[in-house]
Amino acid sequence: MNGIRKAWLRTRLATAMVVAMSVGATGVVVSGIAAGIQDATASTTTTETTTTATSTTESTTEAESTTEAETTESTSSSDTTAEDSSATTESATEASSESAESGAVSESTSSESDATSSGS
Amino acid sequence: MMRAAREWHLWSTTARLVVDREDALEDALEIAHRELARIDMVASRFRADSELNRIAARQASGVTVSGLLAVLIRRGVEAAQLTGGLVDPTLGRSMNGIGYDRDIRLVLGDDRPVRAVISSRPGWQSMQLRGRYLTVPGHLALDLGATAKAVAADLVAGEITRRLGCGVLLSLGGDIATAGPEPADGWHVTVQDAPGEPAGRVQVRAGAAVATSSTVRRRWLRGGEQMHHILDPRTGRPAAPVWRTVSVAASSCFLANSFATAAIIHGDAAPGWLARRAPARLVDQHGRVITVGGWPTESTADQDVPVEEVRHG
Repeated sequence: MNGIRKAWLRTRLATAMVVAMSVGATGVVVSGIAAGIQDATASTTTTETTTTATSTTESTTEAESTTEAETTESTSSSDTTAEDSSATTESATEASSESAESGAVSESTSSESDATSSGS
Repeated sequence: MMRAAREWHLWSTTARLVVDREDALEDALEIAHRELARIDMVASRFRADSELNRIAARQASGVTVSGLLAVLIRRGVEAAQLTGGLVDPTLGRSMNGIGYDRDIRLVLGDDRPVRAVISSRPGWQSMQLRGRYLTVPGHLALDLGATAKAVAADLVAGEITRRLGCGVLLSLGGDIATAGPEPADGWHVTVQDAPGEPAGRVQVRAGAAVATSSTVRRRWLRGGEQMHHILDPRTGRPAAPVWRTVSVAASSCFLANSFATAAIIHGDAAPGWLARRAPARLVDQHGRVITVGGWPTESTADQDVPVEEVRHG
């Protein structure tokens, strides 16, 4: 193979590599954009859910912090309040799923009432 | 065991405590009075010496609050999360704008014009509570009135059970929490707007709760307009009175109250919104009763208005 042929082959090889790299890069970019669009779509449609989930997690964490803080204050009332905080946070999380609260009431067969709920 | 009950006046409404052991009533009352006084001292908007008012001037730069106030504020934020911001703990200025800036008994005689206060960004998303460190932008004022009474019912009922081991039902103006063992014949609660109006009676599972939000209570005239105390944060004005009352049952009084209040603000969309969340009973302005989410259907025997069960997919 003479020198000219070798030089031509090297040029073709270099060109092919550049083309291959460009195609690859474009593919990466395209797939990145596609993924970005998917992510964007997902985040658009689930913003509320994600926010709620994140916030709930933060609340739970904060509730634990409060538990520690109140335990440090070491009054029984504060401890109690702190425990309730965690419990209610869990309830709040559960309530976000559908029909989470079913079964809290049923038909009463009693002729007597312990209290009346009429708003205030 | 005989159950025993006591009623007293509290926060411009009526409190009622029922225990399933007669011998526990006096101790239970002592706990209730003490804990409710603590909550009032911490969260009242109407007393200058409450912690809520004492920290107001420093909340913009950040302030450490007591553990109890942190719990109450956190419940307010959770209520906002659960209701898409319809129950917002930062509506103090809006509430003042419609005239509810004092005890409701003092508001009734004041007829100055209404001022609607709306925040461009939901207030609850602008505040921050990390542990007990609170930051609230200066243009906002906390008002925990939408949730504090229900949270108080949960906390105090739970505290009585923990101390005395008895079954407890505590009603704070119709926000009803239960705790501890269930009485042999269960807890029974009547839901009714006013005497002579459609009534329903339900058995409440031990540990569960019922809360009612109303547009016919705590009403006053301001600037010639009829006001009530449930604000729509989107308008800064009282929610359109589509419903006279909404009653909700849930695993805590906090949840029941949050859902009931949000339902009032949802207006016509409330039955569908509630049906996916909790058993509920709604009464419209004509006295018609709608039940959703598994709330027991009511007998129409004593009523002259229709009662319907609505099912929402």
